[in-house]
Amino acid sequence: MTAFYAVLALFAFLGLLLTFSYNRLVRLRNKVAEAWRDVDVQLQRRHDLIPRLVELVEAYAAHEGELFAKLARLRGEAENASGPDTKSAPESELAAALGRTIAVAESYPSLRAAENFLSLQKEIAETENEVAAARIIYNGNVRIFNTRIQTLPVSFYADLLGFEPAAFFQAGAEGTV
Amino acid sequence: MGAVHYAPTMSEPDYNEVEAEERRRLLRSFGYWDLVALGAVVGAGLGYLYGLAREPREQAWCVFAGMAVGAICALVAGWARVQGRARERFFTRWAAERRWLYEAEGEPFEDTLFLQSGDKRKASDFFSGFWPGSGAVLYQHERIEGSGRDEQVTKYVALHFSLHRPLIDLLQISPRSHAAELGEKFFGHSKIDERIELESTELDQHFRVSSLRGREDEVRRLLTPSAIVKLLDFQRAFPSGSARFEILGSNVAFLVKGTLSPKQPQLIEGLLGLWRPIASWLMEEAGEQVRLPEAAHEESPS
Repeated sequence: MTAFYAVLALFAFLGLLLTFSYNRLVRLRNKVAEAWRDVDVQLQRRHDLIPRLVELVEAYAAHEGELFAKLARLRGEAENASGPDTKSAPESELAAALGRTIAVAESYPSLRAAENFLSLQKEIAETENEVAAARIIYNGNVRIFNTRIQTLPVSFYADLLGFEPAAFFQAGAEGTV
Repeated sequence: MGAVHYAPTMSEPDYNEVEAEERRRLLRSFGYWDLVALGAVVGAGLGYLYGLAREPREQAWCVFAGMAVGAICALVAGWARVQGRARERFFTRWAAERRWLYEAEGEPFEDTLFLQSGDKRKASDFFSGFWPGSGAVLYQHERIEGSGRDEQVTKYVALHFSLHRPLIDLLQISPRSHAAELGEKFFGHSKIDERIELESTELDQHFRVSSLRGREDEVRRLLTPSAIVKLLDFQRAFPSGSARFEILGSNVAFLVKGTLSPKQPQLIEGLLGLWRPIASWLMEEAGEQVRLPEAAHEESPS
């Protein structure tokens, strides 16, 4: 009888550990999702600034049509992509193209001195900072979550409970603006 | 003591030299040996009184022991005075070298909840002028709990400044420690009843973010991803400091556990270098035009 209770206590203890572990994994996964939503918000801010920038620069550098078309195409691709793994590449290219557009704009002294350009440039720089910071936070959460589910003893049952490693959001050309 | 102004002829002081000079000065001073002699006489007198009821031979020993104890006490008091004076002289010169101001004594700031906490508070070694125009002061803050034998003193290096306008009613970012959380439950501030979990797991592992009930949106608006990254950067650079950040209206306090020592003055510059991005961000949020200068040496104090 004593042995029966000992086994029962052991199972109860293991069940409790599993419950705590499961709850912790759910919390970590939710944090990853929350951080991704934040990245998404910042990326959307970046996308929203592009038409304003193009409109402003186009008036001075109409011959840069190819660059503007590329910017529009990359913005479309980035908006259509969903999830960190598919968004990484177009967002990196978009950030690089955005940097080039700013560089083109800066080669026109009258545009560079225009107040609306200066305020837009500041807004873009701030957005790029926030994108970079949101990416750092997201990747930090992914690292903690992935480490958790890929190390013992959680790795034994993480897969069974439906926890899969999350994808990192790769660094693009952020901060170049 | 009054504020000390910059003297361009000064060279970078060395604490050991300053201390040795103070010791020499003390030994040369006539008053010091007077004090030692007085200690010996008072000690001998007390020894004599203590030995009154004893045999003459024991009495002589009591007088001798009293004399020795009195003289040693006076010597130790003199030594402590040397330390105190050397500390003040060193910090005064060290601060003046950087065009900062130093004051050895002053009242502790008590305008944020954490700075008000504890049964008693003490403050010393006030440095200012490192961020001109900001009104920021770095100092040693002591929080004293209990009294007598149960007295517990926790020393913090604190940075305090006031913004021109209130930023948020209350924001506390405190070290994530179960002991501290339990302590605050019993002795803490009942006004804080909203714990806010932000999107960063790492931030959550190191810090507990709290505010007044119903202010979560305000906190989230203030603590943008780049602000969170600044806090995490501080934590990574200074992991052992139990870092704390508090805003109460327009009053801001940053604290880390630690002691200001003239033997390690680089801690001050290291902390200022690490605190600067966070202070800049708050000042920007408050719409202030203050531009905080880069520190001369920005070494990690850890």
